[in-house]
Amino acid sequence: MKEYILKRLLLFIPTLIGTALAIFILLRVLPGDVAEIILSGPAGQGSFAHEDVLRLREDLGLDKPIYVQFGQWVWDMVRGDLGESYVTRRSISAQIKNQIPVTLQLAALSALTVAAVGIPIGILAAVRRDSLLDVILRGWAILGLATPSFFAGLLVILGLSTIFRWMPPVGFSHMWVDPVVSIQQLVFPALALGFASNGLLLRMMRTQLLEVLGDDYVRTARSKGLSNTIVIWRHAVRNALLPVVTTFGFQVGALLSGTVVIEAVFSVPGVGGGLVAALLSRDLPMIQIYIIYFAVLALVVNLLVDLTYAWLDPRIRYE
Amino acid sequence: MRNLISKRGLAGAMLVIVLLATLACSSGDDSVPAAPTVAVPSSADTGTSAASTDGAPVYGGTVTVPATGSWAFDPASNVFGFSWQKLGAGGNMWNELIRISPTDRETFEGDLAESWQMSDDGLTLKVKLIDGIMDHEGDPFTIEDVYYQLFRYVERPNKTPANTQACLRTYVKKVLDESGNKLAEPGLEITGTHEISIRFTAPRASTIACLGSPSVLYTPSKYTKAIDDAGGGYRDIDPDKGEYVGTGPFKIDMNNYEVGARMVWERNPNYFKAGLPYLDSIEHVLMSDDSAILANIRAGRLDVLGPLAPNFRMSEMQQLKKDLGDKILLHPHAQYRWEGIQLNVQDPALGPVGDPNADKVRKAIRLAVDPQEYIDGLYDGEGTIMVGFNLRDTWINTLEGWYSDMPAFNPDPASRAKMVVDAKQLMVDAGYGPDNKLSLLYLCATPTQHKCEAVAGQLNRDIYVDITVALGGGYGATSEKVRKGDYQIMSTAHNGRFADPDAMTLNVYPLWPDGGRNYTNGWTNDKFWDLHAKQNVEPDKTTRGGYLREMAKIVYEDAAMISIATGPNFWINRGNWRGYTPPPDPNVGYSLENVWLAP
Repeated sequence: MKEYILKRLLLFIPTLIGTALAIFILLRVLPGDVAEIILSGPAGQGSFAHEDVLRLREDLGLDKPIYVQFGQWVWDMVRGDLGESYVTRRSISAQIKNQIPVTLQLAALSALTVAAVGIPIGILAAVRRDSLLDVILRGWAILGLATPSFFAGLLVILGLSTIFRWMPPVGFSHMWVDPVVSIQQLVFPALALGFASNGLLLRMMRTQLLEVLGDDYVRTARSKGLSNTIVIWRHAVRNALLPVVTTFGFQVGALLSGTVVIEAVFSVPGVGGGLVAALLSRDLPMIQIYIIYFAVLALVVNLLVDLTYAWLDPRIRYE
Repeated sequence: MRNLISKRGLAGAMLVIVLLATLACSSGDDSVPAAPTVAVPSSADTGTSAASTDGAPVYGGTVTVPATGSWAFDPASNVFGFSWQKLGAGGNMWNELIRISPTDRETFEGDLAESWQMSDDGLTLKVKLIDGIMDHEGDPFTIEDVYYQLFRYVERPNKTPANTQACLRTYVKKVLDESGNKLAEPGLEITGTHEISIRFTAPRASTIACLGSPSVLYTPSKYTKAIDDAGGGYRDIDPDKGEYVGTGPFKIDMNNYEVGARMVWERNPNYFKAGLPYLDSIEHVLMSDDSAILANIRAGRLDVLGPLAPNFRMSEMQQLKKDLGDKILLHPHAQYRWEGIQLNVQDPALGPVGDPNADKVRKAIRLAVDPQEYIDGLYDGEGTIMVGFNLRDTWINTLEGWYSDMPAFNPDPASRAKMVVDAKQLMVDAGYGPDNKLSLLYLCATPTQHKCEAVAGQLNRDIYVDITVALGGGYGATSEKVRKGDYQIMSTAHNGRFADPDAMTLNVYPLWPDGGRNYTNGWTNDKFWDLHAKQNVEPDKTTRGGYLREMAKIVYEDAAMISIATGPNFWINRGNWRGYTPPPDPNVGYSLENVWLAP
C-alpha cells in the first residue's frame, strides 16, 4: 500500500507539470494584452499612452519569450515563491493563504450537509419505495440535479432577503474565531453548493440499497428473524454504501470546484471567488496558481477516494 | 419498526440541518440597521458644516459598502477607477487641496487649503495649507507633502500612467527638464512655510476645477518618495507595507484589512477638522455579484450602492426604492460621460474632412443615429443625450438650444423623421442607394457589443449602409486595432474627470500631451482648437459658454466624433443618513465626514 501511495504521489509531478504548462500557454494565447487590460482599469475607461503599455509589459516580464516566462515561473514555484498578483501587487501566497481555509470550510460544511441529508433521505426513499414520500424525494433529487448551483444560490439569496428580510452577516469569520457567525455565513452557501450533490447521493443511495435489499444474504438475515433495523443498518446499508462513498468522494472534489461560482454569488472570500476576480482582471499569476491549486486538490481527492475504497472493501488491494 | 427506522433516519438527517439553520438564523440582525451608539456632541464638537436637518448630529455607527473593484489604491495610479473603494478613498482616506463643497456640491472650498489666490494674469496660483494637519500616523503633514504629490502627478517619477490627473499635466508647467534638472521657473515651488505656488502653462478657466478634482488627492511623501526613489518602478502605495496613510477623516484599520475579503476604515481621532467625522467606521466587504449586492441592500446589510454601477439598470433601482420605501434614498442623476462613435476619417469612405462625398456620408450617419432610441433600448429610457457637454451646464446652452443647434438630438418624432429623410438624401447624393449600399466595418470591444449593435441596427435600418459589427475582443485587443487605424467605425466612451466642460474636451479628443489612448481617427479642426484656446482664458461664463457651444457645433457638423448619449447614474444610501448631499455627478468627492446616522 505504501508503495502504491508513493507511486501515486510521484505521478502528481508530471500531472502538475502538464497542467501548469497547459494553463500557462492557454492564458497567453487568449486575445487581449494584459498590460492594456490593467491600464484600461476595471471598467475599461482608463486612457494611456503606448509607452505606458510597453513599460508595464517590461515591468511584468511579459516582454520576455514565453519559454523564459514559463521557466522562471516554475523555478520560482519550486523555490516556494508563488509570485505577485498583477492587480493587487501583493504576494500570491499571502492572499491564497487566507482564502484556502475559507474554501475548505465551505466545502467541508457542504460535504457534511450532503452526507447528512443525502444518505439518510436516500435510505428513507429506498425503504419507502414507490410511496408518495419516495416520489417526492426523487422529485427533489431530480430538481437538485437539474438546478445549477449559481441559480440555487441566487434563489436562496432572494428568498432570504425578500421573504425573510435576512441575510447572513457580511464579511467572513473563521470557524475557530467565531463558530456561530461562521456557520451563519456559510450554511446557506453550503446548502446551495451541495444541492446537486445531495440529489445525486440520494439517488445513488436509494438505488444501491434497493439492489442490496434484494440480495440473498438480506433475505437470509430476515429469515433468521433479525429485526428490520438490524437488517437494514447492519447488513444492507453498509454494503450499499460502497459505491455511494466513492460517489461522495468525487462529489467532494466537485464541491470544491463548485465554490468558484457559489463564493462569487454569496461573496465568500475564498479561492473560488478569488479565481473569478482573477479571471475578470486577467491576473495571470493568480489564475495559474488557482488552477494548480484545483489540480492538486483533484489529485488528492482522487487518491483519498481510492484509499477509502480499499478501506471499506477489504477485498480490494492495491499493489 | 420500518416506520421507526424511517423516522430515525429522517430525524438524524434533519437534525443537523435544523441545528445549522437555527444557528444561522439566531442572529439578532434584522432588516433595519442597528442604531448607532449615540452620544450628543457639544456645540464645540460640531462647529462644522454638517447639514443637520433632522436634529443634532450624533456620533457612532458604521456604514457598510460593497467592495467591487481592485483592492490596490494609489491616487497617482492609472487604475484609480470608479469603484466606491477608489472614489471613496478620496475625501475619506485622503483629502483634496481644494474641493467641491460636499454640502452644496457646487462651490469650491478649501479642504487641506486654508486659502488660495490666483494671480491677475491667471498664471500662478498660491495655495496656503492649513497649519497643524497631522497624518494618520501622527506625523505633521506639510507643504512639502503637497509639493511632492503634485510633483508626482506632473512628472510621474513612479512611471505610473496617472490618467485621472491628466489635466494637471496639461495645465501645470513641468518641474524638470528632459535631463531631470529643475527648470528655472518650475511649475511647482514652495514659496512659504505653508505656501505653494503652482505655475500654469496658460491661464485657464478650469484650473480650480482641475485642482478640485476628486482624483487629485494628497498622501504624505514619506512613503511615496521611497517608492519613487527605489527606481521608478510601476507600483502602487501598499497598505501591507504601512504606506496607506492619509490625512482624511478615516484611516485604514490594518487589523481588519484582508485583501479580497474585508477592509475597515475607522474614525481618525486626530482629524484636523474638529468634531468630525461622526461615523465610527466604513466597512468594505467583498461583493462582486450584482444579485448579491441587490439582495444585501434589500436585507439592510449594505448601506451604499453607487456611483457608477454600470451593471444595474435604473428600473431595478426604482423597483428597489418602491419595495423599500424610506429605508433607502435613491438619487438618480445624469452621468457625465461621452458615449458615442468615432468615424475613421483616414478611411476613403469616411474622410478626409472636406471630401464632398465622405462629408455627406458622415453627416448622414450623424443624422440617422437616434439618441433617444439608443437611450430607450439600452437604458430603459433613463439615459441622457450627450451633446458633448454636461446638460446641467445651462450656461453653455439650454436643451432647446441644443436641439436647435443639433437637430439630430431632438427626439420629436417629426424632427426624427426629417433626419432620416435628410440622411437618406445625403447618402444618395454621395452615390449610395438601396441597391448600392455602403459597406462599413464597425470595430467593437466585446463588452460593448450591445451598444455597437444598437447603433449599427439603427443605421442599417434607416440609411443605405451595410454595417458589420466586428468584435475586437477586450478593450486591450480592440485598442491595439484602433491604434493601427484598422477600423471604420468604433464605439467610444469617456468620463469627464473633473467638474468642468474642459474635462470632456481633454478626455474625448486627442488633446493630451502624452497621447491618451492614441486614437487615430485622424479628425482635427483648427477652428475647434482656436475656440478651445479662447474658452481657456475667458473669465466671463456667458462668453465662454458661447465658445463651448460653437465647439460642440463644429464637432457635430464635422461628424467624425459622434456623441450620442450616456446611461443613467445613481447613488443609493440608507434612509437614516443625515448630513449628506448626494453627488450630482461622479466628479465630486465622496467624503462621509459630515454623515451621521439618525437613531
